[in-house]
Amino acid sequence: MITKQYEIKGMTCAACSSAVERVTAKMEGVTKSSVNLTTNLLTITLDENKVKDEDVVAKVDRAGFVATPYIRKSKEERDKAEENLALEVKKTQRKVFVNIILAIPLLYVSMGHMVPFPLPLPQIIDMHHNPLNFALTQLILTLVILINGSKFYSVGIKSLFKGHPNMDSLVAVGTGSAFLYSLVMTIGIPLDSSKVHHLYYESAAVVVTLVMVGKFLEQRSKSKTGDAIKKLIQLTPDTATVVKDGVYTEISIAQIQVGDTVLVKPGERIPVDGIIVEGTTTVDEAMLTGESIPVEKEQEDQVIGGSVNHKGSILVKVNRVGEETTLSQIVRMMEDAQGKKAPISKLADKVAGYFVPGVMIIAVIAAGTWALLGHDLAFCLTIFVSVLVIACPCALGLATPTAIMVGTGVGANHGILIKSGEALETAHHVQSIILDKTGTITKGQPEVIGVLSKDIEERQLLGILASLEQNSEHPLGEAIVKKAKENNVELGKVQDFQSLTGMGIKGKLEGVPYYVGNKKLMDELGVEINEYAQDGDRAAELGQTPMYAATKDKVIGLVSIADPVKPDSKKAIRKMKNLGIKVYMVTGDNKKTANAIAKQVDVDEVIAEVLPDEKVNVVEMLQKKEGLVMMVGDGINDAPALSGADVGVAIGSGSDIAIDSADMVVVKSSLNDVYKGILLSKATIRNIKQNLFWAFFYNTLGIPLAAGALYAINGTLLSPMFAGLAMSLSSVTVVGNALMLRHRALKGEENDERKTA
Amino acid sequence: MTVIKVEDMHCMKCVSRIEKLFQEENLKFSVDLESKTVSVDGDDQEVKKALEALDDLGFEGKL
Repeated sequence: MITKQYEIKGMTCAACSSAVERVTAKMEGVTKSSVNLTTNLLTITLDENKVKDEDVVAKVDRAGFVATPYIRKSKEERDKAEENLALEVKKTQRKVFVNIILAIPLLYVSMGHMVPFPLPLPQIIDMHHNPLNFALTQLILTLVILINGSKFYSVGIKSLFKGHPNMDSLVAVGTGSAFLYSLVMTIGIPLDSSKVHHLYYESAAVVVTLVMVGKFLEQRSKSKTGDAIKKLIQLTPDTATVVKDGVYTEISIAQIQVGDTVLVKPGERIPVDGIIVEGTTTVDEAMLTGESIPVEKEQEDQVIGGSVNHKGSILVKVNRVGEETTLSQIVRMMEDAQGKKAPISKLADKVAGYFVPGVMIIAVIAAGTWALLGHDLAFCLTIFVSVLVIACPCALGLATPTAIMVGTGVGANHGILIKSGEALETAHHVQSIILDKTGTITKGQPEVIGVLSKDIEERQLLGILASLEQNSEHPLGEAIVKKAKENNVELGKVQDFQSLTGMGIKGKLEGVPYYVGNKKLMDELGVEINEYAQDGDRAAELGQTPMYAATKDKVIGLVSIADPVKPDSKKAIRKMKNLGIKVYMVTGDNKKTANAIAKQVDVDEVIAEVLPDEKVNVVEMLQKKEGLVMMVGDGINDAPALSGADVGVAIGSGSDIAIDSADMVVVKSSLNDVYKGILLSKATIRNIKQNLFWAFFYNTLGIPLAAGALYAINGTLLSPMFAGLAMSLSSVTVVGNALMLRHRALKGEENDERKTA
Repeated sequence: MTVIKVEDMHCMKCVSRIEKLFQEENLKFSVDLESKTVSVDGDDQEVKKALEALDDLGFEGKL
């Protein structure tokens, strides 16, 4: 019996997941089967002799879904993989270190006599007195260096023979020919000591060493991103205090189950996702949202594993554990994003595929031309080796991954989680953005905008309204009660409360009957709203909902309620428009409210009265009309539109399904972060292009020099060693440039924030 | 025509899954999400086939 997991695609509702559960549970050899709709994972316990992967896949396929075996690395495996990577980096580091140590005496021996003031060399290895020893010393040093870098030869030559040469092939052929040529010369020294002037050992050795330094830097930056994920995982403590029947026990995190109650003391990290059942506190969710101001939390509020509990002790009822916690999902998203290859890097590989053989041909032609012009073999070989070495587009391989790695990292630091390299790439040239109204442009929660009374004090009116509304479950009522509580208005006890469907409510307060509701209710009561009519109409025009309060025979006040626009929405939309992007607003609300909000935030166009399942049609329509479309939303009803759009962005505390359907998640629920995401994408793409430029710049510049163009003019020749240096320079430039993205990507944006703060 | 009650049919996805498999099985049928029923046009043999197909889809069909 073993437990396996499959990723299921195509599930939309609870009926879907139970269907998958049912069909798989009925299979012979399966003892247990459960499906998690949020993570889309089927966990199944089966007899591996009786049930094969194909059987499960076929069974699920017949039920109308797609199943793929899901192998998730366990924490131990992940740790091990990381350890191996770290070991690998260390190994490379040691090799690089040894090579540098060896390269220094090698350079001293071989080049010392060439500098203006010849450096002293013991007679026993002096090229004039003991040319053979001179050559052998270099041979031995070089041999060790080349053995240290033997990977280039095994990998490079293999791929060369397979017909798709890569950068390693260039290094292998270049340095290999230099070494073999020198070896032949060394053997000839006892017969002809002038051959000692034709040694290129140091070239081969230095090139290999420098390329190794480049590879080492690359490896190290890769293991650094692994560190980011590791840090995220480490955010959760290893143990937690579980409360059961008044007994406190500290247990390992892995043993915690959904439904357990966990005690979190001030200063501790919250171990798992859960809901506060006792106590109030403030929680620092910076790791999740990037928001450094702690968030107040009280009973019924959701807390997230990994965030820091600040002020008070709280009891948390666990509702997500293990791979399902918010943190685990973020980790999974980051792993997925790093695993996916952006199309632009495919382009880089393709270019390299043409570039490498092209360069080899140039090298052969250049060397051949000089040979035909009557130069000796040594000269032609130098040309050949130089061309191969300088053209090596090592940096080409670094150009895209480094930029994307840095880009996603910068995003994560700002609470912008980018799920795929593709999304990061597409976002930079979207032509239009569709913003969902409720919860995206607006706060998504109705609030009291204004309280007005010409008869009684406004506070008193609020008290009457809230006292009545505290019995109602209507969101508009909740807004009024919240407002009253904020203003410390005392609420009275209501008798004979009654909800008047579609109109409002009524109830008695200290024996006096009051009515709260819409215009229709007032008409029904037969009371005149004349004094308040103008204000009520104006509120309605602004997209607010006016509610009147009345006694039996007189209107006593007006309260207007609306879902307010988030403070930074307008500015963010203006910034998006400044990028030349057309901004649409889509909503299910009526045209009047929609237009009022649209006017406030100044979007280009409004599409109102859209049914939830029609949003995806709007996306398709705009794709035809405008090209690439970004959709921003938060609700389950936005999910299809999010996946349908070229870039789907889930905002803030969006539903899990919205988050799953999106390509990008903006944790902080702010439209400005969506704008920042676009900026980040633009900066990353620009960075990739710069990197590609630098990767080719030195190489292309170097090729004619290496081919002997300067020699034809004034007799100087680019030594293979300088060619190697130039090549490493391009790698360093590329990595350096990618790292600059970290500081540059959202720089202006941060200054901007400070200004407005 | 036989009407089969399918209690667990909740959404359009469920409907499309049923439609797809029933078409593969060459059944004459119609699905109604509102009443949560599938109507099958055919003899006992075909109704049996429909019930089996529903079973494979993870639904419990009741006559």
